[in-house]
Amino acid sequence: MSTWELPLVIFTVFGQWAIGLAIMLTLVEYFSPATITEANLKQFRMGGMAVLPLVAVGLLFSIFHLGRPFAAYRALFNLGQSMLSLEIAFFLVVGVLALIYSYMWWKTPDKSSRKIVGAALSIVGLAAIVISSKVYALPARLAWDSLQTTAAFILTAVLLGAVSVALLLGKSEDETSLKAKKVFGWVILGAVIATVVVLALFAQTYGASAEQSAAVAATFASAIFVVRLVLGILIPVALAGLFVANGKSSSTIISVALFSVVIGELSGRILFYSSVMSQYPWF
Amino acid sequence: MAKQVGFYMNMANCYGCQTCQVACKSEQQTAPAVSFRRVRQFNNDYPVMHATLSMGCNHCEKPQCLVNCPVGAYTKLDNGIVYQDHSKCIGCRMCVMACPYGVPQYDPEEGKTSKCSYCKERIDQGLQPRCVEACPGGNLAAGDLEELKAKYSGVQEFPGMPAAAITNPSIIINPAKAFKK
Amino acid sequence: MSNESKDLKPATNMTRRTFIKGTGAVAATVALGGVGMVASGADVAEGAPVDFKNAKTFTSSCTMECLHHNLKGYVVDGKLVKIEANYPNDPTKACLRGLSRVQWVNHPDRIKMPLLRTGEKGEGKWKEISWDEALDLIVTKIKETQRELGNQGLCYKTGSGNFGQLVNGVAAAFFNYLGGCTTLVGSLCCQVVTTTMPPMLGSRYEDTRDTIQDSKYILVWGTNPAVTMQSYFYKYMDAMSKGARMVTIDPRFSETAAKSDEWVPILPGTDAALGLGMLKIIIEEELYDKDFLLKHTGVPFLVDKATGDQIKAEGSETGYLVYDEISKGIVPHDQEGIVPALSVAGTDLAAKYTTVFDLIYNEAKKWTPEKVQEETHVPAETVIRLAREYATSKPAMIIQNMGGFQRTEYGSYAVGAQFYLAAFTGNFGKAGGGVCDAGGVGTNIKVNDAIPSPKPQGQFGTIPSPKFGEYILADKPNKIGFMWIMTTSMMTQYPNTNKVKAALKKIPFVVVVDSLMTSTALYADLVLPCTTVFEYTDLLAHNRHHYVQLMEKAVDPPGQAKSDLEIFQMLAKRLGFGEAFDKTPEELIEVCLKGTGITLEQLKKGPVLATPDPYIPYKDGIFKTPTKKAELFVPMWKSKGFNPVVTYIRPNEFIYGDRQLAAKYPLMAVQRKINRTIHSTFGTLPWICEATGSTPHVLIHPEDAAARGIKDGDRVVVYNDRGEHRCVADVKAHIKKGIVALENGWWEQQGGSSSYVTSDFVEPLGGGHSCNNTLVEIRKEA
Repeated sequence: MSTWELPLVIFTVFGQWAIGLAIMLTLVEYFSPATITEANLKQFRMGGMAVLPLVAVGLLFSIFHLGRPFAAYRALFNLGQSMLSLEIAFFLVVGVLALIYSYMWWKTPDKSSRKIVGAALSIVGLAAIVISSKVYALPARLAWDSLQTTAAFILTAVLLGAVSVALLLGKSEDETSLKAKKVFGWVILGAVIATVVVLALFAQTYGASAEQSAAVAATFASAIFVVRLVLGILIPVALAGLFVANGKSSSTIISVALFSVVIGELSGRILFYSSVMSQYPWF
Repeated sequence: MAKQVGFYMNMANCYGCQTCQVACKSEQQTAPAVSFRRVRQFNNDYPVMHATLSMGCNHCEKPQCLVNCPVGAYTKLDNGIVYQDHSKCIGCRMCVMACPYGVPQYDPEEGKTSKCSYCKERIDQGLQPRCVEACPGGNLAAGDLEELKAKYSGVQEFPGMPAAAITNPSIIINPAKAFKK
Repeated sequence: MSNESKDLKPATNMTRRTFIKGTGAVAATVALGGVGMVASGADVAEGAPVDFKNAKTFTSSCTMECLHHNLKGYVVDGKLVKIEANYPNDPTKACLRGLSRVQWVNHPDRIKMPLLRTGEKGEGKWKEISWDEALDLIVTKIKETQRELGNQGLCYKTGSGNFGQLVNGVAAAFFNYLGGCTTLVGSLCCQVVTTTMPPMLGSRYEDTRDTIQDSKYILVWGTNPAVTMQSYFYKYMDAMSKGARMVTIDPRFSETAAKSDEWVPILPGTDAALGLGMLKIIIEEELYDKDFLLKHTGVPFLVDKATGDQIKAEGSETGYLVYDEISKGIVPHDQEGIVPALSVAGTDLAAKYTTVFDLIYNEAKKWTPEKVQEETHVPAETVIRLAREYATSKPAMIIQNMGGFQRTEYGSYAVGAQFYLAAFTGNFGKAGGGVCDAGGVGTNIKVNDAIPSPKPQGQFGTIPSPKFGEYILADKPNKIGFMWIMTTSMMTQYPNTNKVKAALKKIPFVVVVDSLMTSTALYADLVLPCTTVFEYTDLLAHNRHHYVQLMEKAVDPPGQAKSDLEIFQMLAKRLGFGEAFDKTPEELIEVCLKGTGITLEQLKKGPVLATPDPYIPYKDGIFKTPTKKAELFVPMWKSKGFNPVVTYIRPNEFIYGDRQLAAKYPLMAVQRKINRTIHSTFGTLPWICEATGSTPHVLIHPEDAAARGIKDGDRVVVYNDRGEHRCVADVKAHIKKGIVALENGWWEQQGGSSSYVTSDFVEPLGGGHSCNNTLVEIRKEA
């Protein structure tokens, strides 16, 4: 059994990215509609249309995780009991909403009515992320069965969503956009700080049990953790600093930052799975 | 109260021959790397200690495999067996991750997970689970959990084992001397 | 066919568990074993085991050098699909190996046709030939050898891979019909028990398994019954639950030591010193059973100081003389109404005579607890305590069971020391007491040879088994031109394996008969495919189990594999003495059973108990020697120039022995038996590999490992001047520092046997094997 669980890594990270992006777009639409100008509507439209493929990639990879991918539909059969069934159900709803949402950005980018769909997608998406984290609330797996998992999953959405929207704003130098960038800078900074806090809390569980200690050790001693630290934490901090300081940045820099944050988040998720799965069999 | 089958395992007398493990493989024709029953070793250096524990599925009262399986492949039968309908399995490995005891095992070649059924087919024929029958040391017993409890004394967990509170496993272990309080 | 030596990874493709429904006329194609079960279409439902309800059952037995458990085989559609212990017809249960025989029978790598070597020896290149071609070739080679070298140029070796009545004995008859040949002598396993026990106690293969549970004190000495007597181990636990104390003497913290009250680590090859040290305490503290010694042992026998021999009444073979304390005269030991003196020290006789007791005490008294500690590393206070505990907890049993302690340079003395302790404490002949050897029906009933063997024509030289390689390479005792090897794998079991390999390469024509491409078969010129258990009919009535068993043929062998009996029958016919061999297995079994009171009909119903139950060897102190007493003075030892009573002689290949060698190779290596093989059999079966691993390990103490920069799991090389053994380090304090434990039985194809480094020294008192006095060094694999 591969301990990286790559399909699950891609499913959760991309799903959370899509939801985070939708949430950030919806927040902009509700609280700072002026940010979306004639000039950058094209970028925002691209962003809105990206939600669906991100969800689709996630859902597709979730199927690759299965030993029997063609029987994936059966994963909905235990809704009353299994958190995984519920997760799949919510992500299917997320998928449908994302389809509508992205379609509306594509076909009717001028209509603001899509923000209602965006709001629905954000709420259902957030719930889906929380449920997703609860899939790992397995009493036998202490390293997963924690609010840290929920926090980490939400923070992934926030961070990726925020950096993505920052990219959409990349070229915009008007005052509203600069202000928005500053806000996103703080959001990114906040998300990164919260991520560090979550990691610190996780580190503190060393000694709770042999399995837990091994999971903590496997996380922090891994070369992948260095990737996560540099690409997923230091680079977004630098980017956020740039935004907060003067708001000026090139699209190239933000693109590189987004790419590095995606890799950082994937690395973090790989560690999430491998630190536990590499210990299989646990008993 | 509902009936519940269980296993008694006399770890104090188990000498780790692994006959149970191979008898199970033979009976259930499990794939390579899938063993419904496994013999675990416990070793320590200072002071020296070596002990072995044979474990199949504990057919728990609160089976984690059952509550986490997205397809509902697991059911708790009238006699308390946690039974997997293998045809339903889609190989998501939720049960593998959820079981404290590492009981369900995934066969990458088949793309499915399977686990000890307490030799349901044998039980239906009035036979013992094969592991129990095969143990040359007589260190395994199967039967109604209440009856086993009346006959044998033991524990559900000892230091190093998963917390019994998670699932309430239907097992009585007479621990090796190093694990006795 | 020409193929490379087979890769012995567990075969894959065992994809799905299948349930064969319906009756005997199942359309399912069942390909078992390494390939697994693949069944077709409608008759098969997923997710359940094979249905055995319609299976036919047959019984056979695990025939190699083990406990000879009776097995029940299930056959569906002409395929063996499962093996179970035939319980309770046999009250002890087979282990994982017995159950895995189903994978042996169905092994995809079974040899199906005679294979003629096409490449270099060991290269594994073969071509299949017909039996006719193979037999003609063998006949030609035999005749060629006879012509060029005489019969002494022929040699054969049978081993412990099959104890069936129609196997090794038939080979002996065959080679004697040829006129005789050079033979290998001395078992690698327990030669020194075989040479020590009969002169002392009058017989061999006397096991005390039936009464282990009655013991109050179990001294497991240099053996590991949790592995090697596995199905009887519950009796040890039973004894302990009733308050018995169990102590294990072993360099390694063995599976048995883990279950014991106490583990006493000891340096290999020093057991006789410990035994004598214990005996000293027992004698000096008068903890011995004087009554037993006088009535049931030869310790009062007088020894002539001038000749060093025991004295006998004239004209009597058994009329040993003793000093009678009542009549103050020298009288035969078996005269009524006498009280023999244990010692004549201080009497007028002392100038001319001594007693066996005095001789023994003279050796024992040298071994003060402090000296024992120095030599054996068993603490002085432990020596004293062990002696007192053993002598005062009755009944006390010593578990000897052909243990590794006797595969040492002077193993005979170590074996003798254990017998001394049991005799001095009067533990022989009592339930829960005695010394546990291997044992079985051969001890109590006389089973005939299937084919009476003629006398060899002339005198033939012999080769001591441990020296096989060296002798062949030096043409000692003469050149060998033709070698027949069956029921053994010399390349995994024989010490100094590089020499064995060279020897097999040197011998012009080597035939190996086996069912799989063993390490030894790789070095053959011709490999003949033979049957395995459940493929042929045989009788098992040997010295490992209390039951006589019929081994039924359940399935046809793969390809053209044939039983050893059939092979000799075909050859005998070609060589002109066919009639002597020309009987069916059933007819031969009847010959074997004649006079035993057991019939073939009886055996067809199940195994027959042929040993008193419970069996108590030497019951009431009646030994099987000519004097019916334990004769603790061994004239044979004296005739070889050794002390006739147990003495400790320091081994040479030992840290305190050859200091130069010890400086170069400072680690003492012992070989252990593991639960995955019997010698080397079973070692490549997928279930065995899966359950127990498929890589050889060496157990090394953390301090020894650290000193060499070795970490747990590192690949290492164990080496000395004889060769190298590659394995994985198992770093644990489960062994005495300075000693490492090698595993016995690994195949060439799995990395090679640990015997590449083991000593080929021939134990001089009995001709035994001393692999457990081996010095090595270990390095991390580069």
